[in-house]
Amino acid sequence: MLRSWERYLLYGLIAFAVFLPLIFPFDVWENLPTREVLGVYNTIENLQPGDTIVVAVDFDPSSEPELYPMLLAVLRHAFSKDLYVIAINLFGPAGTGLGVMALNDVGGDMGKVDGEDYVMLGFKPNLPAVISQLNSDIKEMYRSDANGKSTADMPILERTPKFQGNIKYLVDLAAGETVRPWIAYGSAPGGYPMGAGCTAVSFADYFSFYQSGQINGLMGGLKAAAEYEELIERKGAASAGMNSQSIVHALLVIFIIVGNIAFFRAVMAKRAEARERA
Amino acid sequence: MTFLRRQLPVVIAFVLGMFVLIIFYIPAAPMQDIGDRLKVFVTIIGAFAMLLGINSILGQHITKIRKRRPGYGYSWVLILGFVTMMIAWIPWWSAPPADSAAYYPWGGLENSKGAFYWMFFWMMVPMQATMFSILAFYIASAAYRSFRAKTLEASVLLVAAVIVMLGRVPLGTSLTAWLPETGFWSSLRMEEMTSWLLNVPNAAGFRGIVLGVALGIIATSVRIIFGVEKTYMGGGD
Amino acid sequence: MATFIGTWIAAGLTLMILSFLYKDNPFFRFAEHLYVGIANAFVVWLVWATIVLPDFIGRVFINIAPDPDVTWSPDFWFLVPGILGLIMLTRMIPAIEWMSRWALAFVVGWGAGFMIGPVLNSYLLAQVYASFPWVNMQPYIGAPPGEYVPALVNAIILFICVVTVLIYFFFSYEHKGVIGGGAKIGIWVLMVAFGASFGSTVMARVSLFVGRARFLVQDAEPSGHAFSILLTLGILIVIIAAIVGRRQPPTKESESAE
Repeated sequence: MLRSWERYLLYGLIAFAVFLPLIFPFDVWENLPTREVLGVYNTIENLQPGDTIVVAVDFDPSSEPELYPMLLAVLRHAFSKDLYVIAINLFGPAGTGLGVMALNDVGGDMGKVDGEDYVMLGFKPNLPAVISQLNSDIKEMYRSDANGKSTADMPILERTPKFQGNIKYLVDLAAGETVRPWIAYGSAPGGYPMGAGCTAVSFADYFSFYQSGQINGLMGGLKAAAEYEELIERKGAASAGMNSQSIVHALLVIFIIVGNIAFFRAVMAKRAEARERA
Repeated sequence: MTFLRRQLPVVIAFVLGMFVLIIFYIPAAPMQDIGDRLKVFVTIIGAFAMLLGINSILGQHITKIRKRRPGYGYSWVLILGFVTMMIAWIPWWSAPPADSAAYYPWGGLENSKGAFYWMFFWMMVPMQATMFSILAFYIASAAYRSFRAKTLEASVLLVAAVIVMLGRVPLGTSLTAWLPETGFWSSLRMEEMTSWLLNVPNAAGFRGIVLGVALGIIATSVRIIFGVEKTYMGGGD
Repeated sequence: MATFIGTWIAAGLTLMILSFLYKDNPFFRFAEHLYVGIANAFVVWLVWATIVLPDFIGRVFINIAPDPDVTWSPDFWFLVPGILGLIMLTRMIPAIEWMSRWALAFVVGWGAGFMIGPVLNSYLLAQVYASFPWVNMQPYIGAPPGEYVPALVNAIILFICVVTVLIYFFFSYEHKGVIGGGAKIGIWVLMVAFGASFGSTVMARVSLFVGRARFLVQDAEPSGHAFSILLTLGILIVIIAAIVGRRQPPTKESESAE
């Protein structure tokens, strides 16, 4: 049990460790690129202009700090390669708003047109049904996009009436359990490669799918977002947060060590007491 | 009546389940069309189901206000937020964009001048994101209080956690940056250790879990189709 | 102007929710209830505007996207999900609540039949297949020994780890002998996995706070506000919360809440 002042001290230290590096930014530690992030980056890098990719915005504001920078970076990369982007959200309704926001911001920046170069399809419940239907016919499932525009004669969907055979890559930015359904109902039957970005919470879980090659890239949490920002040479929100993240982690490791020393001292004291009594 | 209440749902589940299972393995064109149509059907039913949860939350708070239970003032805040957001859906003061939807003149989310978009961006997103950011402090105090090397297994867990925590941030990897980048000693670099840990033992551990989950899903599905598993119908008769 | 007000409101709401770290207080509860109200209205809007309206009403009753090139005719098959959806809503009426079972059985039965095949292929078979060392060594055939040997060692370790974890999971009787030893290693492998998962989870939670802190420090700045003003606002909230909290008798719950 923590005493009250101890708790506030702990909270205070963490708050300082987060705020100070943000107020006084510095650039000392190198963020080394990992194989898993390069998997996604290289796949998009090697696509031809005019190819279509799917970006699944499967997160909502509760993991926005981790995945939104990742989404911006992936979109920027895709648009700079002149790829067509179909975005979709199957996690929770609020993710649709984030997807629309990101596409409008990045697409507007890079001179892309909604409905021609990109589209946000929006949210539908019942993941397996939607994913597998998209493999055979998009318009049957989505009669309107997230903004309520009719998809009937949208140029990007004229070009890509279904996922199967038309999609060159799928990136799922997932806050929950959406990577596995995308593999099972989307990428495996549809036969297109897939990469995933996820929060650091579920990062470790997906390595069994990365190892098996069912996803060819895996981006986990803020670090991966920062790496991607560095790869496309446009540092943003994620890179700005990495110093704070570093210091808090170091602080926590120190906490754990201090806690364990205290624990072992208590154990030793108890043993010594028992020995004395005997 | 008992048939309608108890047997009919089981019959529906059996017929649908078997049909979908069969067309997965025998893909004949006309059957596929029905299968595709069913996918849209279940999506629409799912949408109605989403409205149920909202009804129960609103109902709860309306009852709270009516009975003047303690803290009913906050329930007013909730209702107010709900009503405002519903009204904000109509852009009273901004004209719809020229190419806006035929479906609804207000142009949906894209109309970034609208009050709906404004409330989403400046109120809903910050609040939801902050709710979960509080967890940072709790997980820190949890790590401090309960992460003790009491047994050998606990020590393994602790060491793995510390390696991953250091190996996933630039500060941690810079601690071992003095080690050579290739050769035998490079495997002691923080990022190499983390990568190995995640890609080999961690992948194997979670693979075991995935296999277990897969068997569980298949077993439950079979039980549902054959009417053994009926918990989804809820209690009562 | 909208951005100016928005930034301040967003910053204020952020601080209100963060004040929960001190203790449960009226500011937090205000923001919490406001959030639930807004979020629910958002869901209602989205479900209506992007699912019920185009997929159901737009197919059966009225043509909501008139297009001169396309002739529209009602598709009465879509009355089926519409009616089942309405039946789902009978959950709100206790007397005929049982009718909702039909709709549930439709969705659950469909899901049960649909999931078996893909789950078997992608979760079970593909995952088992990728565990075998000879499968994982395919890309390394012909590689120099400097790459081949470590890859081989890892492939074998992976295989052993998967097998021991499965032994731990599936042999539920007393662990003795070879099985017992395997199960013991299996536990360690799982501990490594959970440790990695925990370390990673810590990272995620901290990232969320970093994200909000970054909003307060950096995003709020360009619209002409110094961080100090936000900090002052935050301290004010904490002080008022402390005063309000003091006036009520301290409850046991808020002391031990953690």
